[in-house]
Amino acid sequence: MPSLNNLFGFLQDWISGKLSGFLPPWGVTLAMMVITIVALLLFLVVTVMYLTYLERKVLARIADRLGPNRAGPLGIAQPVADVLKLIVKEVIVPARADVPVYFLAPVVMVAPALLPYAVLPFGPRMVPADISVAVLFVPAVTSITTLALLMAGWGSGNKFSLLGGLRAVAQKVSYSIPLLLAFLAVVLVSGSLSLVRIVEAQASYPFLLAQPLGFIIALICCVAEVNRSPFDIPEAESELVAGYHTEYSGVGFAMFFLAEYIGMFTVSAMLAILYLGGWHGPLLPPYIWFLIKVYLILCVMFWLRGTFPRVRVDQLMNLSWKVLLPLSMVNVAVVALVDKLGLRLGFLPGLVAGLVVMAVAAAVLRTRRRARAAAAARPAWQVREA
Amino acid sequence: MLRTETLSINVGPQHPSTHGVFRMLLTLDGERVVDLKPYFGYLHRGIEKTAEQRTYVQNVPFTDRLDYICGMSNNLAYALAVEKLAGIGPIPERAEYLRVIMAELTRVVNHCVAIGFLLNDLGAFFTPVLYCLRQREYILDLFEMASGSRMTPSYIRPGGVVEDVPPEFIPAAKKVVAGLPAFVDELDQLLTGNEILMARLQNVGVLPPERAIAYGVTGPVLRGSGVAYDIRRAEPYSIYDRFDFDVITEPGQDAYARFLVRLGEMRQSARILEQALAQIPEGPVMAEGVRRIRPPAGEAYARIEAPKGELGFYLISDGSPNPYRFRVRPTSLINLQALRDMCVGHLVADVVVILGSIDLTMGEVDR
Amino acid sequence: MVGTGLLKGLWVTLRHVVETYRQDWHKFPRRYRREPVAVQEQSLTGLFTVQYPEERLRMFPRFHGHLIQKRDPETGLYNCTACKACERACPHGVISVEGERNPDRESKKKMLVTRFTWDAGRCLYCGLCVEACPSDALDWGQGYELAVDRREELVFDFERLLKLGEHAT
Repeated sequence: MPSLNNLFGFLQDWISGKLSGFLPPWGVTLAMMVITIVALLLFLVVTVMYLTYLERKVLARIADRLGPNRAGPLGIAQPVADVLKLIVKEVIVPARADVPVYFLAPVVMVAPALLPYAVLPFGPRMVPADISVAVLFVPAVTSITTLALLMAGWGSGNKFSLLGGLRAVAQKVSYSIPLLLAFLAVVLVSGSLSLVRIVEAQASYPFLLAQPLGFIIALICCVAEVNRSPFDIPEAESELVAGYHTEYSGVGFAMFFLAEYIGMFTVSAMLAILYLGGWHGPLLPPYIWFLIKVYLILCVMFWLRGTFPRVRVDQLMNLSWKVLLPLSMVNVAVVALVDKLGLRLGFLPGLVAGLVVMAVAAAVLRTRRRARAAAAARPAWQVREA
Repeated sequence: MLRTETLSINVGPQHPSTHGVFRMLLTLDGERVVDLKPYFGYLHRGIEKTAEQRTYVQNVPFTDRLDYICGMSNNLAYALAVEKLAGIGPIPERAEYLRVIMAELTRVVNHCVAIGFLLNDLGAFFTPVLYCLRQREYILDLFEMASGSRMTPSYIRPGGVVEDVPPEFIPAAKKVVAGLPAFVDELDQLLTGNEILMARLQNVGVLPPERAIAYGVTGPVLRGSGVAYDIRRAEPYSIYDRFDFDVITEPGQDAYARFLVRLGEMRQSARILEQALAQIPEGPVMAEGVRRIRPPAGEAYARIEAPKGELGFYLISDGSPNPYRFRVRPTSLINLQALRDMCVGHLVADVVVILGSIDLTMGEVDR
Repeated sequence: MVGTGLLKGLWVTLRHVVETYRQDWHKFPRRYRREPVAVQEQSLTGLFTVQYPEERLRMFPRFHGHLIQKRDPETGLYNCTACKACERACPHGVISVEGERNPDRESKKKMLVTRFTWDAGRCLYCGLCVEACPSDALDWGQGYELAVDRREELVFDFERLLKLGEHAT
């Protein structure tokens, strides 16, 4: 099945072959770019629409419900109905809004969310631009959304929004650091900053086996980066109504929604590429394997959302700065050490080292919790009044 | 020097997690609560005054609508007050058993709702609350089978209960009660050891026992502060002295302790229900000669351990068929008094959780 | 070990997901329950949703759906004697009854109902009226799809209640 395995490559060749008949070479390149962008955008929009459907179905099943099942057979038309509703809805601008900022925020939110798809490899030859620093490029462009969150929080002129915006900035900034350190360990192992090289380096085994600790850190950070439960404090419904997008309706809200789900897809794709071996897999075509891995991580995210309560804002910061950051630093050091030793045992040294670090960390955390519980025997109320 | 200002925000009356129409004016320093002022009265329906124009039996449906989650308990407290005032008695055995069964089922319903919505306030996306509501549904089915209504049953009346339960009720109730421990275990497994839940609830909303007593707080909130006070034990009403059960207390004094008390009380309710359903005798369900209640002039106060705490009815009669004064000792309102004390110094996110851990029904606060 | 509580929670929710699909599989060719059931099957896991328009729960005999007026099955005459017991029993005054002496002295029916209204919009559904009825005329029906477009349609008159009574029996 070589044609199926490289379906998109053949498609690319075929289209450019047809185009070169009546276009100069630079025209063909330009046309291919436009076609790729349009195809990717279409793919993303449809994916986001059906991600909401998948999420609602998974959450419903967790809670013993059926989920959307009225619009079309099995509720398959539900996302279409949702999109139509959002487009048709009136855009209400709050009286105290900072209007230019208020309207710019959704745009600033969506644009950088789309940029990572320029470098994400969906399969061999299925990457629009294989740049050599893709591992840095993706976090760099996605962190621009932080600005949009603050703009939305400020521009709405609503206290809940402002609190949500501030929380979002603090959260995104703190979680980027351990996330990048975790990615750094992968870069050390594979010896490249290019996503394509990294995937190719995982032909024999996925880095999840060599980097169990790194994967867990990266998973937690990714969930926090895209503001998903249990780290969804910027839009914590029970405290801040809807956080930074409280005052957005209609298309503005749809933009935030789109950006959030694209962000989820991006981080899942990054995890799949860096830790689960990207497009590698037996039998099925590579892009199918890639999507399977991405959807697996997405389902884990939905699962977490359906099970856990939300952490508090100070606990969120503590987790990042006091637990994940030291752990990820230790992880980088351990990986560097293992790499330097140069043992020819595949993933085993990394796996063992990762598990040892995790066990030590768990033991330390437990003794610290005991100590805290002993300190808390004094009622907090007395401490406060003193 | 950096100059900072406090920020005042209104949480409620249209906020997702104020448990009804309730408003808190929070003064925040960053995210830390400096001051909290509760405002209530949005749901005031004048039930106490209205009740003065209705006969004693006509007031039963109004008691359903105080704490609308535990209608049966409210009925029971009111019935006890009227019986005390009018000297009705003795109540037939079967009616006493049915009252206990209904009151304990109501306790399970209330704690299901309390735990479920506490978890919703904590941000657990609807899963625990739906598991809890599912269990509640089975019990509400029993209420509907007996009284025809799910939440506003008006089933327990002065003198007994309105009519005997249908024959299929006892087996159905036994089945529900047999399934209860498994449900509590599952909830336990899902929630109790959860590190996020513990981090969110432990040392949050600490209410020391002396403060709790000073505020007059009762129910799971008081027992969560480590005070073993339960009216079912302290001053047994109905036939609670016949059953074997433990008063659950937790030393934690925080929101987590209240959560554990509620879980434990569901287990104890299941124990009481098992005993009551096994022992229930046959016989009449209404005391003799209760047609028109016209108590002699006087006053009476009766109280019960409602799921949320002490619920009392204070009635004054002037000899007419209507009460001269109808006063409710609302559990939720009095437990609410401790809110400010518990919240100051915590973060915004904790306020919502503390409010949830007190377990309020605004219908009872505002009346 | 830190994290075991989290894993236990995840295990519980995973079990629920698997169980819903297992039950779906059992029902496979037919999506909905065949018969209306009064009480749902008691279990902790599995789908709990009732697919309302297709599936319906059977109401309990005592369910307070709406009031009905009953007729004597033999003579076909209505049982109501316009004694106003229900009107007096109602805590909210949502029932009003007017009657007059039957001009036909020979008839078994001594009192005729000239007006009987029940305002469902203000009713507490407590059932004190049904308990008060001495002549087995007023009773509960099990219907529950009573939504109307205008508030005035919530006031049921005698004819409508008699008709509801015929449907109920």
